[in-house]
Amino acid sequence: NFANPSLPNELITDILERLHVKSLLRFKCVSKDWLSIISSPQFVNTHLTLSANDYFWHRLLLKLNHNFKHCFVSSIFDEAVIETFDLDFPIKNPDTSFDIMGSVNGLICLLIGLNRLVLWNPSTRKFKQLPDLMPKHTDDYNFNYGFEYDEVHDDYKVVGIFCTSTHGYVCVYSLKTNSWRRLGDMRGGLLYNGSAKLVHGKFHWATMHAGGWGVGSIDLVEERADGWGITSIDLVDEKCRKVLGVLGSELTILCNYDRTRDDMWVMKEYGVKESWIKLYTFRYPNVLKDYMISPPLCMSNEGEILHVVGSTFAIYNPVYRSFTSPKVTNIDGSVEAKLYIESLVCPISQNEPVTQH
Amino acid sequence: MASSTTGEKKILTLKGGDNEEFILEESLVLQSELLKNMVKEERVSSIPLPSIKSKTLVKIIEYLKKHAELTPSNKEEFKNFEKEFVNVVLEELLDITVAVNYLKINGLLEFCCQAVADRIKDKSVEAVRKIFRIESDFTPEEESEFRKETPEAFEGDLDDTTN
Repeated sequence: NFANPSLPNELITDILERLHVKSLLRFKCVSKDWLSIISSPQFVNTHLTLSANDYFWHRLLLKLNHNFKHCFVSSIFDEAVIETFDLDFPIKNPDTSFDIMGSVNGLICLLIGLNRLVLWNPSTRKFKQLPDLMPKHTDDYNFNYGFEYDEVHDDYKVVGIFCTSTHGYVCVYSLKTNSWRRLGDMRGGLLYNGSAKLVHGKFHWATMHAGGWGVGSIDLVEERADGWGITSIDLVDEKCRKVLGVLGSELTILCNYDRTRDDMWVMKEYGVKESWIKLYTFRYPNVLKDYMISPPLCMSNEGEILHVVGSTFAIYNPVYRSFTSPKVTNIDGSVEAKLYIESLVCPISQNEPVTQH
Repeated sequence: MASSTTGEKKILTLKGGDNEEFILEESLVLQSELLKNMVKEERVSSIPLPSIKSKTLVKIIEYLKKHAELTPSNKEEFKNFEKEFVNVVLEELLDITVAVNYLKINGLLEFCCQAVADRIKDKSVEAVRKIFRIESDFTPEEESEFRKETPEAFEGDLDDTTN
């Protein structure tokens, strides 16, 4: 007479929230009750919050020449040999180039070729192609994209920055309205490569124009453009190639000198030009001469900072002030990497047809 | 505390599903939100818990005692105890989890939920249905749709056992 009492739905929810996406996708077909628990927006959000706060759920998306792989962030800092795993890429066409423009809440924004943008959840394999930008930008524009979540409006946004040497403009895509909006014009100039970075609710990108180089920014929530120059003496050095990055809540800049070394700078106080400090220098060993070190990808609990260079990782240890390079299996060439978390967040709204492969 | 003016510890009786009685210090059961409210508001000295098996209650009382003795210096020992605590057959772990949820022992509930999740993560759909005593309400066609939609979720070595 002690039949295992049936579990209340709230308790089932408490248990399921602690599972990886792979298990959850499988358990959707346990029953209609379980399907509705796992599909509810509330569940997706709680699962996301639990994943975001736990290193164990963080992965690194690795872009190789024509395919993607992933590895577990926890393994990078803890293990001497890092195993990588295949990831299915939504659009298979080895002739087109693709770039990672951003990663947030488990969604990746990919630029395919020059014009096609895709939002992709590598954990669930769901993806969505964004509508074309109108008017289409032409060859004389150079461009840059950024991807982030707007908490105030509960919306995912892609910003596109388009510049000629004389003028430029900014467009914002909203996943909620599934449309692009053109914002005001801005000063022209050359855009440095690397996607736009989000810090303090603003997207940032590095520009170069007649007056020197600087950082432009746009407020994600207010959709208002802004900009400031950077005048720390070493940083004004025109000889180096600069790549903007983000570490935690701080803007970073990597300054590359003739592919011999990279200086890693951090803006300790947001918006304060004088607060740029040089954290460390990476000197390229002979075997890595042909590669460029990536902006910082993440920091471990012990303060180690992860970069990718060539087909290996460079981990800066602040205690020993030196780099280590663990062995990575099954990758070669020049790898690009981006941190992402496992989530059920779906890039497709409910009334849209599902694209999947 | 109501009757204890001499510094004597107040005693409480818990009655398991098969009428077995457990006598313990009242301070121990205060870790349970449900029992705490009962004790504070109604000043009862005996609480019947007919839905909880005595075997389960024994385990939970064991936990309450260990947890009450937790200090910074025996943290490691407590962690090992916790590990052993959930190292029981899955059916028993579910009984404990349901009881802990009912009694609202928050820290232990999180730990039990994680333990259940760890135990079922690689289970097949059929095994999960057996474990949770769920009848499928999907047609075989609907079920094969799930498999078609996310084939990778059904790949690999899935565990068909229920323990």
